[in-house]
Amino acid sequence: MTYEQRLTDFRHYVGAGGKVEATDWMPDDYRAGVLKFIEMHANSEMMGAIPEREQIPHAPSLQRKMSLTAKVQDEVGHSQLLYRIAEDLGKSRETMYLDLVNGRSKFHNVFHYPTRHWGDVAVIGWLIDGAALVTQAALLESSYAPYTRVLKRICAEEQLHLRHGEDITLELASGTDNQRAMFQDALDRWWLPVVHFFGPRSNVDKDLLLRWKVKTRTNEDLRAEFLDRYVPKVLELGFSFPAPVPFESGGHWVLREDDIDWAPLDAIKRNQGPETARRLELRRSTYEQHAWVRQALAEPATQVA
Amino acid sequence: MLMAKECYLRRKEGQYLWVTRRSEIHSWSDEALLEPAADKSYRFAHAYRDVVQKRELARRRAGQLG
Repeated sequence: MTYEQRLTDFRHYVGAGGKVEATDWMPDDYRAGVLKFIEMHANSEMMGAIPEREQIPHAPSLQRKMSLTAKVQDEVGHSQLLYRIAEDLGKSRETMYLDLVNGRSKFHNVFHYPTRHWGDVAVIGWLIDGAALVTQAALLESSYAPYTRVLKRICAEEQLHLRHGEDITLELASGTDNQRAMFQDALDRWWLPVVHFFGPRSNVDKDLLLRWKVKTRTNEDLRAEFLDRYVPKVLELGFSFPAPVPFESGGHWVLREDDIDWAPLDAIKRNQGPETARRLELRRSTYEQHAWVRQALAEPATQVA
Repeated sequence: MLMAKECYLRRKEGQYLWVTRRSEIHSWSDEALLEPAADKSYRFAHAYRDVVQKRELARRRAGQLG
């Protein structure tokens, strides 16, 4: 069978809803596309742990400190699960890690921003995890089967993170004027990055991942679902949105495209976000400092006489 | 293997069957090892079951600012 024939069969197979396993034959661009996508997701879980980790020392109670630590632990675990399935597509974990810390690969925009106080933990845990859950739930339909299996575990844990984020939000929202101001301040800084998280309008003709059904829904569709679900919840708590301000139109919560400033996202795509360099350097230096652990694990056990 | 199949797969409850010698099994007998060291209820959904009341409380607080 020629490559062209296999490609035609594969196109029909995926088009009809067929799922792809790691050991199946894949077109070169399918393999490369899925690998890059999962690698970026793994990178994002790894880097996403850092901003929240920064707030662990600032937790208002021991119980909150423990629960935030557990969340950070879960996120790192997710990155390990995702690197594991990415490896099966032909790139080693070491290479992926070095590409990340050397700025050659990317991670999601929201993790390039600083955290200032506990209000950020509420917004991250509720709205950002909420946004991630919308996109990850859609990815459960992906054509790449190993990814869907790992996502089941990830989504189950993210659901708990979401409840945790909402719990913190409600505590602030029903608290003192100062606590409410903390949440509003965080929302003022995080709203635009949350909108950027979904990306610009999908180019349905050119989007390789949509064509191969690795992704099954467009960016604008996922963002629309997020807005309908979360805008009313924020408003009913008496908070307000900074630009781009959502408004009601035709029974949905929408944004005016002209109100969205895409410049910050363009900088982040070049790995030039506010915290990018500092956090990648943290990852790189801890990787070097922990080399002795990897070496010790790699050595055969010595017998005590 | 046949005995195991009869006992455990009568209603197709599984996909694989592994049979091993008891001497090859490693386990622990101390029940205390299974108990978490602290209250880690935040890992489970039941710890958040009061969310409905909390939402109501927060909405009322928002209403007070009107």
